[in-house]
Amino acid sequence: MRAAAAATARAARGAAWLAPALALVGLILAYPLVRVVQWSFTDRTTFLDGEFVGVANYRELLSDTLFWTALTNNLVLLLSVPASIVVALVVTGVLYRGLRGGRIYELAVFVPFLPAVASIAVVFLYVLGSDGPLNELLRAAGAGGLAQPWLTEADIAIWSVLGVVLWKRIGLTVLLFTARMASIDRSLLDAAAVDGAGWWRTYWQVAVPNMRGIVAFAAMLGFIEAFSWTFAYIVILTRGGPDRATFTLEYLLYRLQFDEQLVGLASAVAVFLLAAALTVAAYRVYSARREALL
Amino acid sequence: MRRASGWRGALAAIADHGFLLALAAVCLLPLYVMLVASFERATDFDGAALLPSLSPTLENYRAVWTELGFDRMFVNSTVLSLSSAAIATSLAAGAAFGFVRLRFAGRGLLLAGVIATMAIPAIVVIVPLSVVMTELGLVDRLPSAILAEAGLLLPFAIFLLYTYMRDLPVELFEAAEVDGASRRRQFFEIALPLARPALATTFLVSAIYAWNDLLIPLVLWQAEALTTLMVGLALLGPSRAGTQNVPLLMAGATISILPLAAAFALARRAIVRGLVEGGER
Repeated sequence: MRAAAAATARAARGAAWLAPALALVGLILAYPLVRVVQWSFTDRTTFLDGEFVGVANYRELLSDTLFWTALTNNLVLLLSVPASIVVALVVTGVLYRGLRGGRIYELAVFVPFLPAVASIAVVFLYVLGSDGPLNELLRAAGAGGLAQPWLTEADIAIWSVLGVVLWKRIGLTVLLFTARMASIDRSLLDAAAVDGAGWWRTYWQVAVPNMRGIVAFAAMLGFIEAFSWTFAYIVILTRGGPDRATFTLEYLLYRLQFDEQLVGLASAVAVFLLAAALTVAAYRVYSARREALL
Repeated sequence: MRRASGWRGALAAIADHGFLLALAAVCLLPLYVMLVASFERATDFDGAALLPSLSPTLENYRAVWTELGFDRMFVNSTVLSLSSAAIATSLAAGAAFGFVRLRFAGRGLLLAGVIATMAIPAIVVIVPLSVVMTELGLVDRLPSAILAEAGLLLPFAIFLLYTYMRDLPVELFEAAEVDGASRRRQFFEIALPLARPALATTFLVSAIYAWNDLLIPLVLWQAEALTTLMVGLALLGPSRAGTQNVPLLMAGATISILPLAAAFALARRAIVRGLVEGGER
């Protein structure tokens, strides 16, 4: 009895270390997660608790072309992942080829990562405007034919957003890759070079395979962004327009919840985004296990 | 790497520099035109300014700061950023210490849960979160966005501090325990001082994240008195993108970026460590 009481007391003292953090995570993340899944099966609105409606919300979403437009746009923005990885691998290769002043370039490429999405979206609202600097530059270079209404033409607006996402992402990807590169054993690279292999062959065959882990991490960050953080880009750059052509799932959720007050339907969109997030969560737990962190 | 000597080496070096210069230009030009436009006279502005004005003015900065309320927004962003980072870092320090020093049933599962919730973004929980905060009567009050940001940051903060404290020599704690030091003393006198670099990194990365966030303050701090810089930009940007207002908006964007540039200049190593360390895992 006394042993059990002592164990309980010990557990209670131990819990004090974890309790405040876990309580806050519970209030902000865990409880809302349960609720959002639950509400996705109801016709709840901001004003009414609603009733259980089965999978009606999901059915409504899947038959709505706007949902498919949004999903397609998320997938377009997901192209920033392979694109940024390829560019960053080339940049890292060039930087490590024995260049003088490489740090300056590294810093310049990193700069776009620093500002908030909201700040740079406002900047690009100006840069990509019909009479903005990009079109002015094109006209000055005699390529006025290429000038476009980058953000207000339905066919190209989402690709312009992709360009902005890519612009912002490359710096962090380069930073991650060069940090990994710096910890690769130089003798491996030198040995390959002694064998007469050129730099790029050495790089692809010796260095890049050693960077697999960090490439996977960069891909994960990009995946999270494409399915979680496109809201700030869209709400400032295009507001989903023109003609609802640039809705993404995040923006659709926001509009359903805060403009149309359709809590149940917005929750169903959230569940789709949750599915994407859980893929990432599974990967995180898996890699933490592999690194013996758990 | 030794590179090929002679003219081939020289050509390759020129090609390398050319490629990187072009990329650096693409990365810096948007911020360059932002700065240039922010010093233009609004009345002279005709759509785009590629070269610095011959008669630069600080009028736009004065106007956004005093007339568009960026002074208040700056304070709100600072409060949100620093207080949520402080809450997340201090709660995470306790939790990380608990995970390192305590062995209890369900510990592994709880830790896996923390790592899994790192992947849950704000947008997934924003619907119930706004309802919960409304029910608690916290919408448009200071604690709502601060607690939300802190809660969203906590899994990352716990993970970062846990991986750091876990690598501290366990003998230090065991020796202290033999000397009769309580857990509390082990925490304050051993764990915290030794984890100072990780604490700084966690705080900085958290503060930057909260400073930059748009969604949470947009939803939970709707009152005009609580507008943050990012919310201000999001509300002003699309509605005021008319030619005349570009210099004003660019001054506002510059103001929202300056503190980050300062933080980065002062603490580059700690910030980069935070970004990369998450990556090495």
